[in-house]
Amino acid sequence: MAHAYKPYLWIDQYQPSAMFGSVMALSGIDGVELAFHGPSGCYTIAGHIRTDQAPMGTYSAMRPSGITEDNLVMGTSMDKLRQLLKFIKLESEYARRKPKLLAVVNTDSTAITGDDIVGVAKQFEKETGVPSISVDAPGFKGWDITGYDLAYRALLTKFAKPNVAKKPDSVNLIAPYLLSSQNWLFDFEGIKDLLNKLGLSINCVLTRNTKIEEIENFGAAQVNLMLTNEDLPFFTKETEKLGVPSFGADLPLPYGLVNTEEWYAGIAAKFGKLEKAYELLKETSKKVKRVLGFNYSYTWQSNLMMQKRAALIGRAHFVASMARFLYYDLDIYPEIVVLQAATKESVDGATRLLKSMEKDGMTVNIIVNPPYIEFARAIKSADIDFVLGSRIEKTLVEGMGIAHHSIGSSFYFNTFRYIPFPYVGYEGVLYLVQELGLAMEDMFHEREGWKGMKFKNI
Amino acid sequence: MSKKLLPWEKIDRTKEGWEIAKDLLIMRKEKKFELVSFKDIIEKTEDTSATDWWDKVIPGYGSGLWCPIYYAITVSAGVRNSVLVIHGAQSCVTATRHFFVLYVGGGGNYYWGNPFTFVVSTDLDERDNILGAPEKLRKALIEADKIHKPEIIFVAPTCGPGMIGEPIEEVIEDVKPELEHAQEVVYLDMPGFKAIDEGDMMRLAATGYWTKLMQEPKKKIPGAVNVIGDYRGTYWEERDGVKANFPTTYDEINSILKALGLKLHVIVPQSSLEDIRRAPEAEFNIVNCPMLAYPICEEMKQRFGIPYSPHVYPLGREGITNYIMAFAKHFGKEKEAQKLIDERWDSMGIEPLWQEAKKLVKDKTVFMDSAISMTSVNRQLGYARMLQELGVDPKKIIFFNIGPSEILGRREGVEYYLTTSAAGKPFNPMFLWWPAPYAIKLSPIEVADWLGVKDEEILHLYGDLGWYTKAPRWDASNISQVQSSIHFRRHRNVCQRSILFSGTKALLRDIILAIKGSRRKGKWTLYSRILGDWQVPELVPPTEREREF
Repeated sequence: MAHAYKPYLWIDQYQPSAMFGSVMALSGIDGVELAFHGPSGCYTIAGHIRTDQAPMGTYSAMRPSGITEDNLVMGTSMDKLRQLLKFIKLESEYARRKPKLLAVVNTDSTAITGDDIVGVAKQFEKETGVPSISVDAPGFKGWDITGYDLAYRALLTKFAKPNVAKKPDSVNLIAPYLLSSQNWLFDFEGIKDLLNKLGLSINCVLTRNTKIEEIENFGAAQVNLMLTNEDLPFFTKETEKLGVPSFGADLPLPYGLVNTEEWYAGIAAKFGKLEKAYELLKETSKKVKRVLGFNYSYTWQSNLMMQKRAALIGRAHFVASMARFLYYDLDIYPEIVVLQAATKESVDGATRLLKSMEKDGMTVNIIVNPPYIEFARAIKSADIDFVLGSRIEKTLVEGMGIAHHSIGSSFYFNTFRYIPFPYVGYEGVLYLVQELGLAMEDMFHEREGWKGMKFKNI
Repeated sequence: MSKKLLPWEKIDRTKEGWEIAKDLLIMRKEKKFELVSFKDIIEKTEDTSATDWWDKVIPGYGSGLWCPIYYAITVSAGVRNSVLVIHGAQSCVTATRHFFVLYVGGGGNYYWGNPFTFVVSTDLDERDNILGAPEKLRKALIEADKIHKPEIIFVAPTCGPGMIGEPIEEVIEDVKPELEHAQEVVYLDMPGFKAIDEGDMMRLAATGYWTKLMQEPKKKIPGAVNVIGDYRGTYWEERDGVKANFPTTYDEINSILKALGLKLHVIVPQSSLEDIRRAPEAEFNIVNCPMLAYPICEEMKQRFGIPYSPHVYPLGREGITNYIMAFAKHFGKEKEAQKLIDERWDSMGIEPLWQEAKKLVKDKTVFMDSAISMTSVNRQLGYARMLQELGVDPKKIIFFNIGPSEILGRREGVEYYLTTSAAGKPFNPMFLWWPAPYAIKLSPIEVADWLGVKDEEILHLYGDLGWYTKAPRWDASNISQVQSSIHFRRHRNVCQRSILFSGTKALLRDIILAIKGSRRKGKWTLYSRILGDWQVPELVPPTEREREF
């Protein structure tokens, strides 16, 4: 894994940490009990992050050891962790709910003190019979990728059986949250649906409502379908040992028509199902056409959108795919694309996707991991009409008087979207166009004029 | 009750933490609770920031508790044209950005309108966190100054550099002469492990930093008043030209001051550096959030001789009168103030609502719930004091789910309230005490059953999130429920902190609607059906239902 380019030694961008990654990944295991070893601030954010796995999710729990300054100074933090594990044991007896997995995770402070999270996990397993792991992924280890990677390795080394019989036409799905769409929960369902329709079965997901037995049978899949182009070196090593090759990282994510066609074709070709994929797309196109055809609202919106200049900011694979969607499907010019990525592999992959538009007439200004101030100055000087990004930079962009619409991460919380419909696939275009409609409202509506010149005698 | 309220008075402290946790679960099951007063808590509880307290808390504190670095970022973020440099792992910045800054307060905030925050992280890795990386801080400061061109830079460490004693102040002093733009660099020594109670975090963020930025006034501005202690909605329309969807607290304060011939001067801490420097030109300080304000007010009093009023959360006629009269008296404007209070109370139509609410709350038992710690005890006390003024029996105002440490963490605010009165009686509400820490929250159903209070007798101010709104029993259709958090309590033409005249009026309207609305039994809300059991009522065809009228 090579680190992605960063312009300065310091950063100012939304960058989920390794701890975020480990907690998110482990919270996707059915029946897991997380022992969170760290202070309150870290626990609070971990609690928020993992709520992403909760809607339509299976049971998981997390408890904190509650480290204080005194524990760190006096060297008593391990005692706190031991007490926590005893409590977890007690509570599982009390509630008659035995964890299916105990996972100990740590934070900066408890990693610096070198607390033995490996040892306590082993001890817990010995005493209770509950399979136990530890993931040493404190925030300072870097991006979320590190946390995901270490968690996947821990899960595979613990559970995945070697030499299991292969299931024909089956795939493992890797890192659904790294789709990095704010709608990822439903996008993931949409992806599973697209694969199922193609006749592929889902063998194991790392991780989303994942049962331990599914990890045990990880090796049964023919391939891993990567839902991210970030590099996961530890995972790659483990899956190679298990004889499951990975693919898909170089494909665009299936947002929009052209991307869906390329993504579907790539997968279908792998399984000799190109013809079926074609038929499925053909069939779905009729549904989309039925909704948008003779639909004057869409005709109007389409003309509002055409030839607008957009900027996109977000996770590299996602925004590169979205930029292609804007250009190919909507005739919007994605002039600036900010790629946020942990690894060089992700930046390179996203750049390739964007560069592929050059032969079709669109040259994008690609900026990698810039601080927010440089992003702001770039969109200001480029006279961007609207920005697609996440809720994180919304106040910055709208504060500059530029329309902004959130479609990307960070995470599901506070997106206020509940209709279980994906952005992905042909049909997902309907939802994306609806999202763009909201962006157009923001861009075209002259609210200040309404306020400034309102009828005086209301 | 015993003299001391610490857990070990009620439990065997020689046991290990997990065993104590077990005892607490049993205590909860057996409902071993007792009612004490706030005065008891303040007088008889030992220091809850003591190691002994937290060592026995298993599982550790968690839900809704934040982190000192969050407060460092949030409080300083709204200082105009500032840049924050966080020395440490970037994860802490992202954590703060993810939730706290956007929704709770600070810069780049959705609900409070503060400007976007530029937060530079030195992005320390494992090695840096252990061995230190002062050179990275130095470089980050120089580059942030050059690239962002800020007026002021705030520097704060995360846990790692905080633990290893990174020489941050030395780096700042060393680098200062090289900065071209930042006129000040402030070091906020607030790594994550530094405090547990939110009150302590606020005190940390308020103490020592802000008055250092102030300058000796060249002149005093007659009638100028500062408002101290806020990080939310820190602007007002007349000065900043910003017309907020919900008027800021300062819009309402400004209108009151102006009516009395006084002038709103500066909001501390979130103003421009220039304004903070000028704050000592004011003649008087008034308080918004007590925890953020009192340390600054005390320092300004000592250094610049500026008196202040300790009054907070002006709700109800008495609360508002005390709040306004404090500064009116200072400026010899009591008569004008009384006239203003009478006129606004009348012209805003508060009195009829007051009388209606008074009848409705007469026999109520008030549940002051704090499902998570974000529901500040001081804000809740403000609501409770108004309810006492409305005629609720003080013995029937029951606080629960607020950890004793939270109360002690915000001691100054609580002590202020205990010096006040409402409806001619000292203000000293009740507190449902048991030795459980934050981690174990009681449901209002448990509390109601233990108290033997009937559902229709309850008025539930449920704090931040109504976690326990669960059908069939606990729902707005059955229990009078009023939201009492700060960010959810927004109404048109009500100032953002929901205080003063507009806040009182809105709270009265909410109380009236909540009590009347609790008569719609059997028509459960979606929320309570989602959190509780999804009740499907007996289905009655519309024609028959209409005949019932």
